Amino acid sequence: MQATQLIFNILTRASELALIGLSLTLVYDLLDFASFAQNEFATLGAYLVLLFSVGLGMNLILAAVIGVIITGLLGMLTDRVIFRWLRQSSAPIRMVASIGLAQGIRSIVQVFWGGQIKDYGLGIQEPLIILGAKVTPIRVLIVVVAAIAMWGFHLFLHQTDIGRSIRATSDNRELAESTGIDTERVVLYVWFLACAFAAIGGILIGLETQLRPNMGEALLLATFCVVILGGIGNVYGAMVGALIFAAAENIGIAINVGSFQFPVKYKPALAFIVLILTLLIRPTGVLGRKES
Amino acid sequence: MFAFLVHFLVMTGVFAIVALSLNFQVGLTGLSNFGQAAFMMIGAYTSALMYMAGVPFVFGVVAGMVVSAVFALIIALPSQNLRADYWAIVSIAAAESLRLFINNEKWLAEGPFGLRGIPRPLSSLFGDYYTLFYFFLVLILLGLVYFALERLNKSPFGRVLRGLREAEDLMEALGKDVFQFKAVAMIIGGLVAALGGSLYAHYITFVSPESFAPAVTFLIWTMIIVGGSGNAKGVIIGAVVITLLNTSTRLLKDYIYLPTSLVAALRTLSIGLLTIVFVVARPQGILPERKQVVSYTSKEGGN
Repeated sequence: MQATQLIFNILTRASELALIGLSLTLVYDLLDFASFAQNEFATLGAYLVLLFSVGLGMNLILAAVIGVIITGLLGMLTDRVIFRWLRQSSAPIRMVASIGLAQGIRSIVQVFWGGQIKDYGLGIQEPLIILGAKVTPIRVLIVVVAAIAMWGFHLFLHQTDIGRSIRATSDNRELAESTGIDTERVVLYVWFLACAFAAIGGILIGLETQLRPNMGEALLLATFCVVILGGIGNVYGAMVGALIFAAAENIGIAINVGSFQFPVKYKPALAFIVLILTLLIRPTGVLGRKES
Repeated sequence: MFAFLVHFLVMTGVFAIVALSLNFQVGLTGLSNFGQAAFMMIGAYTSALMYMAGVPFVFGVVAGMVVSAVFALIIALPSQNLRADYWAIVSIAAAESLRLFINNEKWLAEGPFGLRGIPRPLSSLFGDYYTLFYFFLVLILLGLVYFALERLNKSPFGRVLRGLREAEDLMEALGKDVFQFKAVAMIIGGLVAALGGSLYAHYITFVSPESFAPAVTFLIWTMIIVGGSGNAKGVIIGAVVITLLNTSTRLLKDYIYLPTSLVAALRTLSIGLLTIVFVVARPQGILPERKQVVSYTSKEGGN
């Protein structure tokens, strides 16, 4: 395969994974548990946009903005209803609660929208030829949106008071509290941001391919892999992890040395292999900063 | 109605056996195993394949348990140097890898199509009363598993396991080989889960990689959370409640006219919500674990 084509494929995949990975890493960092529900927020966000755009006839961009905001608010709601009561519970208990939530969201999507494959009705895209690579305009949009979202998040973390209080709480909760930061409030902001980012990721996947009730679940282990690879709680790590993972996946399939060809049917196994190797060799991740 | 009742009881018994095995790891030892369905899968596939190849039933079941024990040991290995939550992710990744392997390697067990028409042992002997016979078989095995695991729980070995759950560092300071105890807990759980898996396969007579999806592991976790983590009686109650929720659609479909996929989604929704309700409102479950006071501290009136 051509190098530029390979790079475009890696960038598209990494953009989608990084956004959902960002969602998981934010929750993991502040609430100290691996949430199985973030991928379902991605699914939910994608379906909400379907409801607003195809269902209610809104402009797709407006529908996407509303869908992202509603998903973020629903994230805050789940914290108030479920996770606020589990601050003192052990991490596995919070994980179980998040699995219950994930099943709940997935089945609600199934009940409302059914199991059939849906799409945003954009039709077949004519690919552009950029540097010899075939790229549909949607894929360019995906990379651009993801880049803007992450750049915006970086500025948000460093330039705003809420961003600074999130960083302070993530660094040292007690210290943040003693300097007058309302950490419970910070947790709510984080839920909003995490679920909103997951929704953006879900919408981008929906734009590139289709919507299925298990579209988020299918990426669960890949998301875990991306986050652990980059170092839990490290938002830049999630981006680097997504790039490494997407590269491993795409280059792995492109490998064709002599008679050896990587079996495509084992593509999902790459996530497991990278995940287990990272945990065994460098559990703090590539950009890891703390190990408790 | 009677047929449904017996079917429900057999399924409850099978899942109670698997739930007890997971409780041994999660409730007692504090090992968050999120890959329990894989051990069921190993038991189910090994004994089904061997029985179909003409090996006597009991040998196939035992072989499944042995393979499962080896897999349990492999999964236990990284627990030596990983945080508990990282290890939990490894356990689900390992289980999914195995499922992917069975799904892809068609020569081994028909891949995604699964094994159909798994023969039922002694079926010619019992004829129409087969389900009833199977119920008693499952009941006896459940009883054996229950008493064996309770015996282990009350033994000094079980005390170390509960110690690991409460304070791993303390157990290490007392000179216990933490990894060895964790590995044995995983192996015992693996043996029992494989037995449950074999019983499942020969009763349902059809297994595929989908039969052992992560949702099944979650179902077993729910039984423990709802029943009472660490309390074997509670876990059996949990198995009854969750199996009732999970199998009742078979009964309800005669009365409620809804599409099957919708009923399945509503069933998953109700199990998810039930888990959340219990985790938030009653984390100790229906029957909480009872504190066990060691005799030589209580005999002397407190000192």
